[in-house]
Amino acid sequence: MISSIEISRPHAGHDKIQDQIDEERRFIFKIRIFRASIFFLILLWCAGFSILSLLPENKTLLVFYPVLKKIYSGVCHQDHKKTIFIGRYFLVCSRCSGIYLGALLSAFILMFVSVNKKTIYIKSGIISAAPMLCDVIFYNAGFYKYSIPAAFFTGAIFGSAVIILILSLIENNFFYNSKGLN
Amino acid sequence: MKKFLPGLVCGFGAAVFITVPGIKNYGFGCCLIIPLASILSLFLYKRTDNSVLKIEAVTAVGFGFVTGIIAAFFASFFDVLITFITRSNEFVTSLPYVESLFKSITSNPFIDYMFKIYKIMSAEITSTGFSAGYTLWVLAGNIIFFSIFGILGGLMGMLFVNKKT
Repeated sequence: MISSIEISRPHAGHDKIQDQIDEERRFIFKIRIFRASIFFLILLWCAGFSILSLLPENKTLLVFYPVLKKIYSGVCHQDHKKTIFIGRYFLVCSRCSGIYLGALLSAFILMFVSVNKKTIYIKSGIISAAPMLCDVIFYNAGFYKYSIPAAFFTGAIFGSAVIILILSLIENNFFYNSKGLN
Repeated sequence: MKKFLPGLVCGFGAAVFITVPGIKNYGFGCCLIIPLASILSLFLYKRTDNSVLKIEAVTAVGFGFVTGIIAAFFASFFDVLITFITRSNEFVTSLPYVESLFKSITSNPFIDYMFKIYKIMSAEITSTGFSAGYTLWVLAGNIIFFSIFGILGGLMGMLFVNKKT
């Protein structure tokens, strides 16, 4: 009896470790799927405002111009003077384009970054918004004229930081919490 | 119902900021209006709640969603109202531009069908000031996107409010 327990113990321990490894793998897979879904959603959103510019010759897409323009008008002023022009005007201004494309780039990188419970730094979010805020204040105060590259890059810095913050929040509250790793 | 009063107030405010021409032209985060409204609604909720407990993620998502939905309804309502009064809007004015782009193209049934719908909507707006198709389209678009932006704002708001708590 004693010997049978002694023999079975290493197997039971091994099984337990294997189960934990499997569970960990499943968890990492879930997080990866989530991050990939977020990336594809942002990609879809970015494609919506830029596809008419990137594929100007596609006339079937052009038929959706009024629909897309109306959809994006809710989230952007769409002033042509402040909008990037590549073949056609983007459907959002250069600052909004920067925010969304920065978020897209960050989401893409995050798909390949190792999955760990992240510490959320509010300060990093606020600091990332500082260049954009400065640009808005200085431009509106009349210190300089509106610059599309400046608006785009300050927006991109903000967008790339904000998506990390948002993903951290969602993962920490809905994935790690359910796993009991709070 | 009283719980979501801050969401109602902030959603209405956001809708005003989105609809009123000129306000969002200052170039600062027109796409941040809805998330900021969600953050503000969570702050107001926390003020009225007097609880020392931290806000849970589900509550924050709920608040963001409600703020987004309320903003979508009011923004659509204002849009339809302004269209009704002026009997014109951006859609009606941009339609001839799109049509001019299509003059050189060999038409196909899909493009023809879409243009037929656009023209009906445009004609309804210019003659009566109201188009059910346009209203539904605006409402559906606003509900989908504003609720997503609202939820994101709610999550961000949770971070700030809980940090303060």
